Amino acid sequence: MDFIDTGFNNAFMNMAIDEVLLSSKVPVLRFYQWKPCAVSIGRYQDLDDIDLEYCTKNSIDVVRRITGGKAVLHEKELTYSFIIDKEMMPRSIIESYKIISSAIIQGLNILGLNPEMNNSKIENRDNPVCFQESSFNELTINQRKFVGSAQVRKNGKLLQHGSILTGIDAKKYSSCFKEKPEADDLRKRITCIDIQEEKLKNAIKQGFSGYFNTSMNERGLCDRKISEAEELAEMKYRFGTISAKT
Amino acid sequence: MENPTDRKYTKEHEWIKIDGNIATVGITDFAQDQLTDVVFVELPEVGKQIEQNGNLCVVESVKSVSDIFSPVSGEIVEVNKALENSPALINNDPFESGWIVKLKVRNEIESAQLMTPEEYNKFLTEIE
Repeated sequence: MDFIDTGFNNAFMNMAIDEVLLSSKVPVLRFYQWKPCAVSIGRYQDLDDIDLEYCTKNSIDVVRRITGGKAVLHEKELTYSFIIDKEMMPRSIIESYKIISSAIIQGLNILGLNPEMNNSKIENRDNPVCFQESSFNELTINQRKFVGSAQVRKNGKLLQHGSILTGIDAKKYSSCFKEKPEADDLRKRITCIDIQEEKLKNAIKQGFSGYFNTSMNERGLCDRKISEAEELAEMKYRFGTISAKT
Repeated sequence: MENPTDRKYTKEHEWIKIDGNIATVGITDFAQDQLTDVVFVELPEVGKQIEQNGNLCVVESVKSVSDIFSPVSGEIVEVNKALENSPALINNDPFESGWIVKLKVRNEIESAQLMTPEEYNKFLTEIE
C-alpha cells in the first residue's frame, strides 16, 4: 500500500489531490490537513445550508467534495483518504465502512483508545452537519462521534475520506451553518482525541498496515500529479463544475 | 424480492427490459440493498448518447456516491422524473416505479449477451 502525507494545503487542492489519487494503481492511504480551515459539503448538499457570509468574513473556504454526506468544518483534525480498487472491497457501502473503520480502530488501539462502531441508522438524514449524525460503522467514543467519513465509487475505484477530530471549537462550528446548531448540542454529540499529531499519524498508518496485512510504501506526489491537481483545484473545485459557489 | 423473469441483468446489478427498440433500465434489489437508502439521483439528460458500460447516472446513498452503468449503448429517450423528488423509489420498488432511464437501443446484440434471470440468480449465489 502506498502512503502519502501531503501536509497542509487549501481546501481546493486537498480535494483535487484526492481526485488525482483516484487513478492510483495500488491502494493508497493519504493524510492531509487544511490551511486555511474550510467547510466541505457533500456532492449533492445544498450550499444554502452554509452561512457563506460568516465563512467569508472569517477566511473559511467552502469546497464541494466528490463524496456523499454532509458538511464538515475542517480545522483541528487529521484527515485521511483511502483509495482502493472497488473490486477489492465489499459492494455493500456499510460493509466497506466497517473495513476502513476497523483499520482506524486497530491504529487507535495502539494509543490505548477503544472506539466503538456505531450500529444504528442516521436519525435525521436532512441534518446538514455531518458530525451531529452517526451512520452505520462510523466511529464513536461513548456514543459521541469523532471520525466523520464519506465515500465515492468512481472509475472502478473506491475513495473514502474522513476527519479524525483532534479538537473542536463548537461555537465556530455552529456559526458556519445558516441554521445554527446549538453549540452545547454539538459538544454533547461530538468528541475529539487529544493526541500529538505525529503519534496519531503513526498509529493510524500502523492500523491500516496491520489490518490489510501489507507494508507501507511512503512516497510523495510526482510533479505531473501535482500539476494535474493544481489545475483541478482551480478549474473544478474553486471556480468550476464542482465549485461550491455554483 | 425475486428478480423478474421478463428482463436481463448485468454483473454490475443493473436490469434491462426491452420493448421493441426501447430499453428500460434500473438497478436490482440486490444493488439497492448494498447501496442502502438512496437520497439523490443525478439523472442524465434526454438525448444523451451513452456507450455500453458507460456512466448512466450517479446515485447518492447515505454517505456514498456511486456510478450506475448502462447495460447497452443507445440514446436516452426518457428519464424517471419521479426520482427527483422520490429517490427512495429505487429502494422501495427497484424493478417497477424505481426505473431510471429509457434508452433507444443502438445495438441489439449487446442485450442478447447479458445475463438471463437464471444466470443472474446463479451469479448472486456465487458472490453472496
